[in-house]
Amino acid sequence: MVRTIKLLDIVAKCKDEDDGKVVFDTIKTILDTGGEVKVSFNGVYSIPTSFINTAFIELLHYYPIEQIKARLSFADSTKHINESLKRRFSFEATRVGNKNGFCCVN
Amino acid sequence: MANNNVLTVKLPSNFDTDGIHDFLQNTFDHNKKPLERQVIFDLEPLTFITPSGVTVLAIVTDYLVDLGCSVQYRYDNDYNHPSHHALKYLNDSGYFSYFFGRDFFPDAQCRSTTVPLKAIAHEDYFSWLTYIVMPWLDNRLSIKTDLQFPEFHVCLDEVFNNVKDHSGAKKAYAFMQHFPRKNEVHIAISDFGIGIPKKVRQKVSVDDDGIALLIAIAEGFTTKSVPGNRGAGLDNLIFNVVNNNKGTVSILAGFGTLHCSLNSGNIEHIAKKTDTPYPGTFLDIKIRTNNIKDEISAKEDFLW
Repeated sequence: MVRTIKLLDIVAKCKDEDDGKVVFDTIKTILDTGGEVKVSFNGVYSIPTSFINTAFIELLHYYPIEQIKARLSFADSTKHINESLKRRFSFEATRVGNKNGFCCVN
Repeated sequence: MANNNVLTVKLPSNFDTDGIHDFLQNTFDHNKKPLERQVIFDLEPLTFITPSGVTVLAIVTDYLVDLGCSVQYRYDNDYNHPSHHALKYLNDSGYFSYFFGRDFFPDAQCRSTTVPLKAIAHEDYFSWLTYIVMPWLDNRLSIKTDLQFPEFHVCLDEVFNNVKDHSGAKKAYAFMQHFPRKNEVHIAISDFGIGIPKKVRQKVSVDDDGIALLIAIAEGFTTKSVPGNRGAGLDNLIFNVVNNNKGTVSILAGFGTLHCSLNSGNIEHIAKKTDTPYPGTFLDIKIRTNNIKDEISAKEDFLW
């Protein structure tokens, strides 16, 4: 079953890592119990990298990219947000890393 | 020049980004220590000042006052003096009312083309952006900035998140101006925190601060290990402003400068080492306003 999370229902803004942490915790709770998540950007038109990293990229520390692609989706997005998400995921998912698929480049 | 422990610093005639290092060299030593504890900024030579000059003058004054230094200004209030227009601009930017609680000219008026000078603490950023900056730009450009110009929003988010996460500074000064004839918005932001090159040196050994700035903007390079910091902020700032918007980003920090612009369709980075340090980080961002989408973008599905 897919749970839909409207971002602005759980955070007042999508601006920084504090906001992202709330989103991350919500998503991870659902994924950890075997569920799927659809994140709605309704009312959000731009997101900085601090937010993307904390809310979504950090999931790579717990799940391989293939599982994230299968169980996490985004709705009500914009071209700009989609481009931002793809740039971040593309870069982070290809980093040489540990068994969870992520570590620092250096 | 110093006389009886009073340092008089003449402002340059044209106080723009290019004049910053000379101004700082005349005010501080290389360790960010004021050359004297009593400083007079001589505004009489000033004939032109830009958002960069306003912001740097403000943060320098703020820093000196915080250190307990005495800061005074010498100026000529004759309306016919060559410095009058620049002084009026400085006055209308909110500079004198911010530092002295009063304007220097009775007919002071915040110009509709500017967002008044402000020191923005981390906790104030969102309300400043939401209730002052975005409505201002909406009105200037007759757009919905949120929907039609997300690059502008992201640009400021990335800058202020960097100040919050990396600089060690509690606030940054910002001033911006719309130049309708040039189709540009100039944004000047500065903190007097640790400075990007010093942060870079916490992780890699590099002597040249210009190269340190190049390292800092590379995607993936980060000096922090918390989830939000993965070395993407400066890269994203430059990507949005330069690649997407065709604007420019200049960074002054430590003994380095970096200028990023589009050249033949690619982002060109020009990094230099300087003889005089910038005691923190300064950004001069020029955003183009003549390539904003006319229509509000439709929702778009995300496909992996």
